[in-house]
Amino acid sequence: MKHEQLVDQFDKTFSDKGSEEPDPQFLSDTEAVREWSYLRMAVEGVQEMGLYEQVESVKTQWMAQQAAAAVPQAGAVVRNISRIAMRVAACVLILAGGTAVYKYMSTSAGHIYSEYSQPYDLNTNRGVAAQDEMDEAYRNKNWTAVTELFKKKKDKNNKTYFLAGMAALESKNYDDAIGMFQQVIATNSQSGGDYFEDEAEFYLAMSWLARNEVKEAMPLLDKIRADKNHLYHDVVVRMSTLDLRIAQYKELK
Amino acid sequence: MKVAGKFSDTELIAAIGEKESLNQAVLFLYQQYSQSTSSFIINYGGSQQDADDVFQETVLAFIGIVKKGNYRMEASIKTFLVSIARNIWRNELKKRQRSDLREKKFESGRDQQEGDVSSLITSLEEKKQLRELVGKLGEPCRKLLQLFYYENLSMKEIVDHLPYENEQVVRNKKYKCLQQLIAIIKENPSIALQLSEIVK
Repeated sequence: MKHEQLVDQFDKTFSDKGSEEPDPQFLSDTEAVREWSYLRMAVEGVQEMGLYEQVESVKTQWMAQQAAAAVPQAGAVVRNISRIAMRVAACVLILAGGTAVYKYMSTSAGHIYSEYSQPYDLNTNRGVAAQDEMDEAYRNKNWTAVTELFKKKKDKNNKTYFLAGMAALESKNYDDAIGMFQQVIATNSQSGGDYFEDEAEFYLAMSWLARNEVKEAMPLLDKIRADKNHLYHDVVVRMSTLDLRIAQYKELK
Repeated sequence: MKVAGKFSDTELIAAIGEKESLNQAVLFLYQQYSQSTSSFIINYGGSQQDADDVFQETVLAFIGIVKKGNYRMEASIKTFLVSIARNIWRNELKKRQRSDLREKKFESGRDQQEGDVSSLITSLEEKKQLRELVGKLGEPCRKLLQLFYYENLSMKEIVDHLPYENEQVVRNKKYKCLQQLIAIIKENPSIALQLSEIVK
């Protein structure tokens, strides 16, 4: 059979059926079957490329919209001001002598975390008795069980993500904890809700401090400090700003 | 920002299946799910660029799964997308031969959902290679073949889109382009062998 005929037959089948099943009459012709297979690969490739370009086009449109909607950031200026402030703080420390040097040497993000972190009490904070295994494991401080139960849980929500995050934090798996708390915040951001939002923000900041990444924790701590209705406002207000700045300076050094 | 129509999960699946609504569906996927999905990638050592690339591959894979009728809505679309993205990123990490602590943690964080998804996205790498082969075609050929085989335009409609005199010229050109593409595929027998599995 001529190749042109094969392609015509392929196109006819393609347009008629929306699929590319070979006509039974070709099945006895080994060469035709092989060529048919190549035709299918070629068309599959064209369709894949078409879809890829369509998605790429929408992605570009979406990114352009995002860029246009973005509010001009003053981050660079703020950062510069912060750096100047930190340098001034460092100079003051040096001038203040031994006590200040000791203060400087002994201050770290990890130290701040240890001082201000607090266990999350499921019953106290939510006022609801634990109803399921994950709650029970959490109340028993069985962090491994909490993590395992979270993995098995089919209906994950902000609460389960948060408890899994707390279990990870308690187990010093800070990367996992950060991921879980960020998930809660991202979910609320999309849904417009606030379920476990305050808790996630505070413990996300704590997780960053535990990882000695003050730069990541600061925006969250500033937000909580500025919000008097935030559940953890009082805790954050008690934190020494100087300690945080020193830790941040040491991180940036 | 322009907001894509609000879709329920069911509506979104239906929209992906319709040529006319696919763009809206993809835009909705980006608006609703790209941030949370990307945060997972970044948390596991990826850059923002990695996260963008992985999400794009995720969307492509998801569309492919939906169009083949393999998305059974046992998990929410968000959960499903995150699972796909994690699988893609894990494969990417393997390709980069990174077996550091992050990847070990990543592996330990897998759940059943991801195992299920893994079987659905096995041909992603082959499809990527196939796209690269199509990319070797010249722009006129690629455009012509896409109009016919992806946009499903008739020869007559293609005459209106491309600078060809009549339908017969388009038909001849399309045949030559198809031959050219098949020749490119045949020049890569190892890829062709893998591809023959996914077009069965």
